[in-house]
Amino acid sequence: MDKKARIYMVDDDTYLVQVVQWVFEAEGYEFFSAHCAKDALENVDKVNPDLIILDVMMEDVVAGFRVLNALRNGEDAARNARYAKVPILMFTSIQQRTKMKFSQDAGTALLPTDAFVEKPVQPKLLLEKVAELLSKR
Amino acid sequence: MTRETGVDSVRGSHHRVVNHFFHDFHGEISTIIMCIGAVRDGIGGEISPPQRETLERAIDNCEQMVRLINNYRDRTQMEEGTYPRVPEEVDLSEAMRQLAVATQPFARERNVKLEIRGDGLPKVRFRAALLGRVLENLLLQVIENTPARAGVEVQARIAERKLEVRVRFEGEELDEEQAPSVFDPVRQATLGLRLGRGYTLLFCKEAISYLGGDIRITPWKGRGNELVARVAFEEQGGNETAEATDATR
Repeated sequence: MDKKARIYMVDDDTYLVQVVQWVFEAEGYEFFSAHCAKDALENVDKVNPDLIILDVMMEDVVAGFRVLNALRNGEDAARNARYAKVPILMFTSIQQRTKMKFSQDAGTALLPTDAFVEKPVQPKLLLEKVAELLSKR
Repeated sequence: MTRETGVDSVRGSHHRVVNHFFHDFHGEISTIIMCIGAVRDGIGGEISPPQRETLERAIDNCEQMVRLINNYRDRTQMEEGTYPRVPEEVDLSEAMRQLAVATQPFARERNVKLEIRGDGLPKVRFRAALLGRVLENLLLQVIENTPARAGVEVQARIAERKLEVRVRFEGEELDEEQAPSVFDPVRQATLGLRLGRGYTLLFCKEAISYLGGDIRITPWKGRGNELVARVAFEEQGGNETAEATDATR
């Protein structure tokens, strides 16, 4: 497992973020967080994450997708190239809510993400998914 | 306000409340499951096997709550006619493998021998998410109410242009006349029937009916009971069977 990797979690549920931070720090990861799309985009370069865990429905129902597209399909080509190499894991219940099927396999140009994990999830599964994505870098 | 617009307004408000509740619930329960899971995994310090077992049970309960609210939301959408009806391509054999992945851990925890057979099934067009949810609910209920060390067999096949899922489970044989009451939460409780919990089996029955199918339960003579669910699907490149079309109009 890639210990000491820098995890950046973007989620408006502050209690959930706190518990995930507890879980990841116990495993030796460095953990940073933001609670809305605007803060996430303002601070992401400073955090310099190795992996991003991103909620979808925050200040609006597609805030997470906006962050995703700003990082990978934005106007700044250098930034796009940089974040193409940082795994982005969507951590969301939007599939349950909308019944729309989101997948990193289909329409990657539209939703250029590396993985979807449905909430709720047990910590072990989230840790395993993060480790898997980090190992593929 | 006419009576009709009043009723529409109440329905619309109900829909909004359910959606809002559904979203908020997932947030709260995610935090609770993450917390309990972290303690169970020893992140806060060593815990004893009985403590771990208790926390496992707490997570099971949380996951059951998630299924209940998902079912309630689906049930509301079916009633309102807003449940998404677009079928997607489903590999039925893969769907059965996914069912095994979703249910085997619980069977192991309950010490129930679970066997799921569904190889060689075709790819069809189907409302896959609902089918998966129904089968998972159904099977978890069966496992929960099957005695330890007893067996549960699931066999899926195509019969008369329908997917037939046969769930046989060992245990106390239900009285033939009373058995259908397992789908009625009130009668189930009144009769003291041991299969099912609250509204879950009723949801399964209604969802299967919504999918253009039916479900029945009969004694598995001398061994336990058998649930047989049949649901219609759309063949690849073909038309949905008449039953499914009628049920979703």
